[in-house]
Amino acid sequence: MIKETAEILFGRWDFFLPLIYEHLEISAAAIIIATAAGLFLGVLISQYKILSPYVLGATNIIYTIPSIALFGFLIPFTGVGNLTAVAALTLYALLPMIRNTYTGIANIPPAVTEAAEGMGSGKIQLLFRIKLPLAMPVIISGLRNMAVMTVALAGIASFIGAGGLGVAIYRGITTNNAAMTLAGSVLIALMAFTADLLLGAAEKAIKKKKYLPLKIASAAAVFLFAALFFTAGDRDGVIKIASKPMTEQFIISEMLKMLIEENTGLKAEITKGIGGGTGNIHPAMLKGEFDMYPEYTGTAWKFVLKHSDNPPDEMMIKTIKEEYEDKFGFRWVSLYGFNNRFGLGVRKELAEKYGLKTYSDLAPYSPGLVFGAEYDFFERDDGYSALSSYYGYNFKSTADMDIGLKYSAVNSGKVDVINLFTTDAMIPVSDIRILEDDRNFFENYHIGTVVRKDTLEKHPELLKALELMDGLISDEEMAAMNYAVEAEKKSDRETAAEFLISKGLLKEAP
Amino acid sequence: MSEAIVKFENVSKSYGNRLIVKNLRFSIKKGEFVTVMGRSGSGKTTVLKMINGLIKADSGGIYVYGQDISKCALVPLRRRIGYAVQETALFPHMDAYRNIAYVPHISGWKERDVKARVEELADLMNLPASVLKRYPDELSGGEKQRVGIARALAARPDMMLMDEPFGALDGETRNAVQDELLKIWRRYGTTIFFITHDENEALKLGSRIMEMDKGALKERTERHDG
Repeated sequence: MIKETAEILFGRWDFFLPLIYEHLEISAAAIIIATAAGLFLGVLISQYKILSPYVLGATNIIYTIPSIALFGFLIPFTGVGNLTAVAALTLYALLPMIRNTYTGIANIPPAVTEAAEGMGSGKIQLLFRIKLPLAMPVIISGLRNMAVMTVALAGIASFIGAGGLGVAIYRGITTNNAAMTLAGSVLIALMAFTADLLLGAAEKAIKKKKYLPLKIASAAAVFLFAALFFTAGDRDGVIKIASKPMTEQFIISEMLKMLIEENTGLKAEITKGIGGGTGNIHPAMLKGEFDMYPEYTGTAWKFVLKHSDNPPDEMMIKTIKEEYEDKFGFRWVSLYGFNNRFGLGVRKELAEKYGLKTYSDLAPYSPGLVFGAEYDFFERDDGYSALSSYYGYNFKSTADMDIGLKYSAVNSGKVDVINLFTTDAMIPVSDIRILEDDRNFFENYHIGTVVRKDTLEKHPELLKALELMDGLISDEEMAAMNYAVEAEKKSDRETAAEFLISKGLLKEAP
Repeated sequence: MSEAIVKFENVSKSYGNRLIVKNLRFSIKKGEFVTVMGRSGSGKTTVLKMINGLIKADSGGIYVYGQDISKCALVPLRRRIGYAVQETALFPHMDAYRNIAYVPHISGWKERDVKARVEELADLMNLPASVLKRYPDELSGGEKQRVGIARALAARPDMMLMDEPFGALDGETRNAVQDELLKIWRRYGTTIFFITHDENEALKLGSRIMEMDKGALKERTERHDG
């Protein structure tokens, strides 16, 4: 594991470097804003003590909100992406800054401030020449805690589509690549450690009253961050692609980017693995934060359009396309061909022995078979019990198991039938047959590109590039690509490029 | 020497229902060295802090340099009054030089003038250049007091308020700084309002000795000259 992590770290600097940069940018923005606002509020409540219970109480409450929930609350206001990340991190960082500023000022011996006042210091002079410098050690130790916390917490920001090293962690989790997760974590820990070290040195300098090097260092830091922000650059005119936190969405979004850049001269930028998937991407699309993303018909039908019936494919797709245009101003451009739906898989030797091809074929043999699925499938309304009563199954027993273990359990004969997603990475290397849902129990999850209409109007050349995806990928091909990324640890970009080259849509890997 | 620099007219001050200063009437003339004795809690410090407006009177009128201090701007007034307190309350984050230079700095003096003034005071108070670079926690008790007095004198105030400035010193050092203070008083004619616990100190320094008792300041008539 350590060796793999080191290999990823040293082998994929081109991947990590921009993430480190972005992580620094997000954390630095939050730290700087929180420092300024925290100092201001801390000074305010130490001058007007009547305000202190309210300000400290409010920030305390914010501090206790779990980070994921806070990100969730902020999305309606600040959207998906770096802005929300900076806002949430700033809110968390406020408390230590305000509290330490307040405490630092409150702990100054009254004789000292009184002497300064008695000698004729004005309010501002008292604050800047006496109170703040004397409170500085306490303020800096608050800043130090806050900076470490912010750098670490910024790792979670990728769950809501922000950049930074959390992207690596989340990518590792969603593509079953533990070394990648570890590499991202190690880098975050290193950054937090460095921040702690630098601020620790500053704290020491203040205690030893070496103010000059400290002034030089802080001027240099301010200059560096300013440079960082001004080089952040202009991202208008770039096509923004979103993707859900799933391996196949990562691969598909890479393909979309390559096809757009190969065929239109436009630039595209992918935000990978937005936590909450459609629940957060759809509102962001409405706001224009993203131009397009790959979506499944089943999700659009049930989750976005809130239909509860399950009509035949043709009708469902037609309705989805119409309603998306009317309600949201989005267009569905092309369906890629594969269908990532729930399915049932049976060990191949059993399927051959009993001649099982469809879900209905399974019913008479079910009393002799063991059914395995992840815990979630037994809980959901449209899961195990609904399926059993719909097809008349009566399995001998059932087993809860982790998604990652289902395939080995069916291969080794521990269970006989499993539920699955029809593009699961393990399908190509497992000894199973996927049965046909002959009476249409599960919704179909055809996948296509949802694009904002105004983006298509602004860049009419996009349409042709996106239509190249139409009918391009079969279930088996998608499962094989998922396997390449999840099991063989190929990068999603490389996998996408190889596939497009094999289909003649790309001359060489970009 | 007849001009009243400080004048209290029927001044009262109480904390809760404890009357600390009762209908106080007194004045300080220019050039006087007033020493004030009294038990702790007798209200000496309250009177001193009412002179520079750190404590507000409940009733009565206080006039400093002829101005009613409940009506005039306190910040410019305070800059004309040197202030030295018990334990000196030096600013811990400033070296001795910057402590002494504090009032000239906040009053916007030119750095050249500040430097000349600090050097002059250092000479007067027997503070070598090496001491000026030290921070308060690196100074001895005597050095702290000298810095404290130099700081109070820095902006050439017409008057100094001193609240037991030498309280924490051992006998020998105390004697030395007392002599330095007397030298300054004689040379510059600065008006001084000086609170002390120590009767000997009060008698040695004061040109006028007073005692605070039951909310009133009383003249000590007997003098121990020589």
